[in-house]
Amino acid sequence: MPPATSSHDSAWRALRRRRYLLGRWPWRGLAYTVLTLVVWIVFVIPSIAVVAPFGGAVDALSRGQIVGAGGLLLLGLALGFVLLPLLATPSMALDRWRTRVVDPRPVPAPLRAPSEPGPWLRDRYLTVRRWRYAGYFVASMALRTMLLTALSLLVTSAGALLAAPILSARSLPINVGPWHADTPLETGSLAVIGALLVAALAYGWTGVACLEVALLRRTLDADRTQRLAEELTEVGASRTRLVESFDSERRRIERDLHDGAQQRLVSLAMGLGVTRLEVVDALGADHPAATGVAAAHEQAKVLMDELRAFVRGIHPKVLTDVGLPAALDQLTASMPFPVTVTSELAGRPPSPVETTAYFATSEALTNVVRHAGATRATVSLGREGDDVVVEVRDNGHGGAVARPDSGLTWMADRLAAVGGSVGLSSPPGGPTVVRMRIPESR
Amino acid sequence: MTRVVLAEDGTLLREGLVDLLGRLGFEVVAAVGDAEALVAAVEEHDPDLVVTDIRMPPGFSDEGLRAACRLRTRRALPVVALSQYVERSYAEDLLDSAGGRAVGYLLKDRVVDVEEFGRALRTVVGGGTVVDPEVVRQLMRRSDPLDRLTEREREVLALLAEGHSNLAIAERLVVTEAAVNKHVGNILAKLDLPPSADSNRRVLAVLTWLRRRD
Repeated sequence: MPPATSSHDSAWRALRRRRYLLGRWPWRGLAYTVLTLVVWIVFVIPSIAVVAPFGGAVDALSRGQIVGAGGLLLLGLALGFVLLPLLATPSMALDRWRTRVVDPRPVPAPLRAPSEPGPWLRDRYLTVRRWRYAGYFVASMALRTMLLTALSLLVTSAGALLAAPILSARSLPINVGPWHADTPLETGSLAVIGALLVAALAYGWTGVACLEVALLRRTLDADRTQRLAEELTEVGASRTRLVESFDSERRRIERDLHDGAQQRLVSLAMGLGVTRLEVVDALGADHPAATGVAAAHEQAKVLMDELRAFVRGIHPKVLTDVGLPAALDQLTASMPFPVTVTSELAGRPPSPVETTAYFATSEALTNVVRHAGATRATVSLGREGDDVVVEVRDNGHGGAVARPDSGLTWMADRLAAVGGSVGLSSPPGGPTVVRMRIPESR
Repeated sequence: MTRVVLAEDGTLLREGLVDLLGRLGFEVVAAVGDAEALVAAVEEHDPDLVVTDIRMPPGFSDEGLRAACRLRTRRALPVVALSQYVERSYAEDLLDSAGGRAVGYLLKDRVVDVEEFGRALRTVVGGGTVVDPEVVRQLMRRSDPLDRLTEREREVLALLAEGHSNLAIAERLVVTEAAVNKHVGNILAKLDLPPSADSNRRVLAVLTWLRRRD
């Protein structure tokens, strides 16, 4: 036998061990049963309110009062409908807390209820899981009532049996059914039976405790699919939020650079240009001062170009100010082969859609330049239903496939983050068509 | 002296431009920071040239451009518009105003090429048309029939569209003016454009041809 305690030890495991009665688990089972009594007492009065009309209905029916029976039945159903889902939640909360007495493994938490009144009511009364909780409540109350009734009888009996030798010594008559126990042997036997009964009860109450925990666990495990679905929705939403916060951060960086460094650099280069003229006029173009200023001027211009290209890569200003077609015109103007941009977008899509479309198209065109061997490409923008659709087509050799670290996979991830998708058609020999779809509203 | 009204909302850049224009031999009669002030300054000073930023307060969209186009409805007031980036529709609105004469559309960064910028301003004051090389590049990229042109002819066409004279093109490409004349003749023939001695009319014809591809 392994030692009685391990992190996964539970009453259910202990029950199957031979030395169960010598360990702590019978006592824990008893403690749980005492708590069951407390819970039962708390919930029995409202439960009676639900059950009583049904009892009344049966009573009325037995006296032939059909209308009265029907009314009471309806009352019972109404009370049950209103009260059971309300009672189930605190009862389950108590039960979840109690389980640790006999089972250290955590029980999944019930799904949280919405806080606004409308959704709260709908969730409370019109969802399958709430009625599953209510079913659990009814079943567990029935189980507790039976358990406690049986226990009170059996504990009393066991107590009486154990007390038999003492009672006999005080010359009290002891009758068990038609038999009389008089001799010490007889009363001793009764006490032994009493002890065996107590031992059996120690198995019984722990067993019922385990049954109750299993019932609770089963009820809450049934929420798992819904819980996963909710978590997935949340993960999707948080991914979208992350992407959007990246995008707005990029826009902010672009704005800061544009208003700050870029402006100053243009002023500096302009100043150097003027100085260059002055110096050339005053000293001649070959003077060291003139060549020095000329070199500085040229460097400032190079730096300006580099900074402009860098800022454009972060987030093109024309995309924010004018829109997607203009930004794509600017992007494609620097491609090594002719790219035609056509747009049938009437009106501007929301900014996150434009940003996603821009960077995904940029990636698609980068792929065309790198891999397609194309001499021409077209980008067409349009709408289909609620989606913005971007199609990038090239006249290259085709045969493109999406590898895990390829640009296409990156595009698919980027688009999926805003609920969009990407499709690829690239037969050997071409043409290659990449089709992106981005929903305008989420 | 050529009298200029300048509109630019960035203080640093505006002051720099005032210095620059002065050094280039222009007299800046007013330097303002938004489109409304620009219109008022033009009414007041009746300048020979307007140099304006396209994006300005209060909306920071295309206030400068709108004001410039409005100012050009009555007469071909020479205007050079400066833009942070190439936006073809801006260029086209300007080219459509007053028949595309005496107008320039340049990227803001071009102001640092001081002498070149000065030349562009004088071309516009003289009634000419100046288009940023970047715009021309975008326009030419979209025109399939340009495949008929040789590499050299396309270079010449781009410079022509930017508003350079034959002499200026010859200087840039380090060839004789006669050679440029020959290229220009070939280009106009290949694009089915009428030959013309007037350099600005030629520029406009080429630009119109490039734009009709849209």
